[in-house]
Amino acid sequence: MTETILETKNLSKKNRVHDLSMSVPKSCVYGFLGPNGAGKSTTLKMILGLIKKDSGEIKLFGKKVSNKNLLNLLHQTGSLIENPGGYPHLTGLENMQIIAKLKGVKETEIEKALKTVRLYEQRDKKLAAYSLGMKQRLGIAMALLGDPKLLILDEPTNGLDPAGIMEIRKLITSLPKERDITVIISSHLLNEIEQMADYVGIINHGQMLYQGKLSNLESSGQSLEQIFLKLTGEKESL
Amino acid sequence: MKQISLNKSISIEFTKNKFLISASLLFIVTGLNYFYISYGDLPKGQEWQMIFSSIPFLNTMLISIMMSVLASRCIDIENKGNMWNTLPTLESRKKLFSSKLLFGLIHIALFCFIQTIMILYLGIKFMIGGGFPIFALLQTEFAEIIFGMIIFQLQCLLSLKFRNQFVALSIAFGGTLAGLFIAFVSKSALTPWSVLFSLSTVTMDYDSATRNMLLSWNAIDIKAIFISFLYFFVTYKLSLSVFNNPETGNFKIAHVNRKSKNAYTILPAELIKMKRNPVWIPFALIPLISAGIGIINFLSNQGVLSFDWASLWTQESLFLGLFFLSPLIAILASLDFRMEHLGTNWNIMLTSSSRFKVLKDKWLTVAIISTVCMLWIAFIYIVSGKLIGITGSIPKEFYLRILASILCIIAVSSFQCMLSLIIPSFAIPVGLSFLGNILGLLLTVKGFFYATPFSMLIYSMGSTNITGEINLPVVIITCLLYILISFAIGLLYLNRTDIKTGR
Repeated sequence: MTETILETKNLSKKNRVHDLSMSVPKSCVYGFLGPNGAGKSTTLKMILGLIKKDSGEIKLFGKKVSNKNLLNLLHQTGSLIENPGGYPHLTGLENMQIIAKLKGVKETEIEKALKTVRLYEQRDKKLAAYSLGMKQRLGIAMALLGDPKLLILDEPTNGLDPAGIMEIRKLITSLPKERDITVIISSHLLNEIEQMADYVGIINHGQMLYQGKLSNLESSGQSLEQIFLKLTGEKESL
Repeated sequence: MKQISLNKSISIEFTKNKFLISASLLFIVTGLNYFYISYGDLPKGQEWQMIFSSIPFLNTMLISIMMSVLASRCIDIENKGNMWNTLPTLESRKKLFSSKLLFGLIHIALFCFIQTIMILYLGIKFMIGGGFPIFALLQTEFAEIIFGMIIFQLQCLLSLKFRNQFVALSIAFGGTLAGLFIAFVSKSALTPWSVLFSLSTVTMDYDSATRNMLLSWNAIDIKAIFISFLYFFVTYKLSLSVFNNPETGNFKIAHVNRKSKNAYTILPAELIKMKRNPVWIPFALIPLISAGIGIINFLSNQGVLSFDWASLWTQESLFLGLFFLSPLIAILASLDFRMEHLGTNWNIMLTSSSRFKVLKDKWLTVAIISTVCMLWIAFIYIVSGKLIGITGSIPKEFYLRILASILCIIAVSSFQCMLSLIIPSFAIPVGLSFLGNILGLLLTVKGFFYATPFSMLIYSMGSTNITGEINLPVVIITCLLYILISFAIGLLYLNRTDIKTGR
């Protein structure tokens, strides 16, 4: 049986997410799909404790998440939610030092994380001088600090050029194989998810519409786009 | 493209700025104004003179702070929302500027209107005879409107030039402090912040023989009016030219690579964030300005003041202790929390560290830097006293007061951290701190030393009487209480509310 790294049961947030149950197997790329405003970011924020759930249950690494153990569990995760953050008046390296100190991670790891996202040469530039793509990569480097077992990335390719998207895709698909990291990636770009994910969860109006292996969907003979449009009801509106 | 009418622009401005917030600010400011001018006994036969002489003194601070906070907020909402790329495509830059100026003008006009009602009410309440000085009222309100708009325009300019409102508001506070001090030395409008005093309708003369204050009506000072108009037009032209610049609001960053030796640093995370932030400038300069003007005042008033340590302390620390130290702490707390309120930094912070640690580290950073400032004030006092040749020993109470002040600074830091956590604006917690400080001063005068953290700081510093009694155990217990309550509210807020980013 496949080990589950993250599980939610009937997770709800008023007007945004309704009885959402999801299950993310270990060492895979899980594509979390949904149109804009479907509830993807709200769900991910509830998992990370950034917003309170109204009801439901979250299990991370097999343990039920509570206020007491949340931070311990989060120390085994890395995340990039919404747009990449950071302090514009500081350099990339200084931004990484702040996160390293907060996570209690050795600063030797900074170099490794910056090299992974190919920002090591740009480490002494101020964040304000970074392009959007560089900021996204720095956000991923921050998330990678501390060798997380689970990486949660909310639309990490937003605003990137094709070369940047390809680079991030390559990085994300390599993480489960090379570093045994499970990646949850939310997006509304179907093509992007199709090229990266092993598993997908499709959400609309705060409800999970489908969850399972991407290969199962593909074996039905329909493309992910066709299935997505059918499930979300967007086909009719087109 | 059809241009939006000015009426519509102003209504948009009020919607953007949430009138409830500026109305609350207006309410607090006018409340304090009334509290101050109605406080104390009005000398028989000189009631109106007394009222009109106290107005410029308090309003140099109140109007300056109110208009600075409003202008800073007005510009900052566009900075934060990255609206400088959108707004100029929808309406002309000049109209954009005009609507912001009208927003400021409406507030200062409302302030003057409420003040007029208050003055009339005071006249009825105290049955002041001798005819209502309508001319003095008109002159005062003209002066307040001109002064308010000078400050508003100046602050718009500063807030546009320094997107980091820390610098902009620090200059506003430093300027207000200097303006207030200069008013005691010269009646001329040497700075934009001295304009209101220069247009005062009443002259105060101290008769050292009878130890009485003599109040007399002023004749119209054409030169002062001319200078105030000059300030008005210069600040208008300068701020308009900045508004008209197509690059206004674009964040210019030097793309200079900074040489870093390695990835290691012993600095705590919160102090790394303070790097390249000009935090030290107001903390170093404002006590220096205060001390510098205090010494001038001390040396030039030797007929009234005695040449000793106690008198020097009153001159060096008076305005700093009574009005400016708490807002300085507030500016620092606002800066520290602004870094998280901008963008999505709360997401990173709160998934990397516990909420308790985040809040504690921020509070300690603000408290430590403010404590260093207090030690700096003490250092300047001792060195300047020695330099001007004061002999004898420093009063023992001075050291006790510095210790008590540091405890109060830690309590004020905790309170301001709580405010800056809950209120995402930079300027509002700073404005509240300034107004809270004036309320604290009035409470201290009434004997309610422990009523607020601000009144306690004023009481502990003993800026009016260094050798007065101080109850250290009560100060310690009350400080602890304020720290605990503020910290608990902050922590509860972080734990109970959903994290909002990009505010």
